[in-house]
Amino acid sequence: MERLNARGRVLRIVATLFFGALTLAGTFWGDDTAFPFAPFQMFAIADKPNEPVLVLRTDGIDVTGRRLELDERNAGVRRAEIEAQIERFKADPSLLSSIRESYSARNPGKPPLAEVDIVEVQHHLHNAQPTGEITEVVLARYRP
Amino acid sequence: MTRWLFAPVPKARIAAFRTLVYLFIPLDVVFFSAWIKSHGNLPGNLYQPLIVGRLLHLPAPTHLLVDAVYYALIPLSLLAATGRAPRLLGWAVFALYLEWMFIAMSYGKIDHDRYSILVALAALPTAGKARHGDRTPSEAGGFALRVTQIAVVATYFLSSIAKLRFGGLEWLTGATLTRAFIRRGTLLAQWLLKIPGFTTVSQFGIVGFELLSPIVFFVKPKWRYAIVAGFYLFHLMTVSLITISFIPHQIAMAGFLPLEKVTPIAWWRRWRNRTEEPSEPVVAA
Repeated sequence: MERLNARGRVLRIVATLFFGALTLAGTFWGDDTAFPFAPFQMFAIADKPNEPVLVLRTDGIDVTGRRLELDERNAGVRRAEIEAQIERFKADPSLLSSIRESYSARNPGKPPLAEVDIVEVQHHLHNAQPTGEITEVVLARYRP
Repeated sequence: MTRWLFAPVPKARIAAFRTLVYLFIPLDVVFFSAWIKSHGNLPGNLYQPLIVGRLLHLPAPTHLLVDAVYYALIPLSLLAATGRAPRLLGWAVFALYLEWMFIAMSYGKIDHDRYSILVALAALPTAGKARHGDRTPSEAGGFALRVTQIAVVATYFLSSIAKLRFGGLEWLTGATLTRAFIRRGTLLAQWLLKIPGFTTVSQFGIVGFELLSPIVFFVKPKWRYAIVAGFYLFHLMTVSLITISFIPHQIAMAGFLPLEKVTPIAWWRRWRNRTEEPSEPVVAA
């Protein structure tokens, strides 16, 4: 049996209590910026059972007029990241220029984008069940 | 309480857990979380530093920084997986993976499947030297596994606390799962969405499971393993419905299992010996 000495035990207990307290504090009072002690809030929001589910889609229209969906693979954009910063894009659509550049860098042979749109797709619900009705709205549009 | 926190485990279990965790890190960086590396291509104007990032004055991720962490993390993790220099290599891997997480989570989206693996990475360097097959019980090793287990259960339990804090009791009857199914549901999820009330019943089930998860610490080993199997089953369902794997968390969760009994190298040797013996006369002939 390999035992710990008193100092080893005390150090470990203090560290456990300290980081445990930070974790609890993060859960009760912190926000996302407290990572790794941020509240465990993936899927923690209660979505209203009779309001539409909104899905953001990032579209690019290239210089030949072709519309394509931009994603992690072709433009390095995660939908969740666009959603987290949507207010900034709405206030200043020129920020979307970085997505256009990122697309060009990843697709050197392809025609560049003439437009980047952030489109909101609304899936309508009734009592937390989808009704099948879908509406699309453009939230931010960037043309260089 | 301290006896529980330091309950000794065979060193072989630490050796096995160490190998598993440190082999997972390169796989995670290259394969499971490949999106993190692309953050090196994102422009600085999308960077939103975390509190720890600001306190430590961590620089905004650049191509160079992301590549440096990536190419240091892979070989150092592989070295750490051998069990050599557990403290030095362990702390180096922990620091690099933590920085990798700051790179991942500083663009507006925070995932909560990393807490338990970060705790495992922080605890493993304190577990001391451990060889595969060594049955000597170790308190330092027991502590490392115990805090990892606590982190696993905390991830579940505190998820429900967060649901009550941000969603309130309405979370139970809201459209959170419906929304998740619509936004990222598999064909199976789209099909289940047609069953009236399926998502609401599932929401009650999830909160019940998360709030009761600490029970795993109060039951006999037979039941403990059954509960851990239930945890794994929960993630199997999450993957098959909304393609969220929580794989780092699942790796940390192996800290509940008697990993020293999983000895692939010994099995392989035994299998090779058995298949080689009868073949010898044939070779001689």
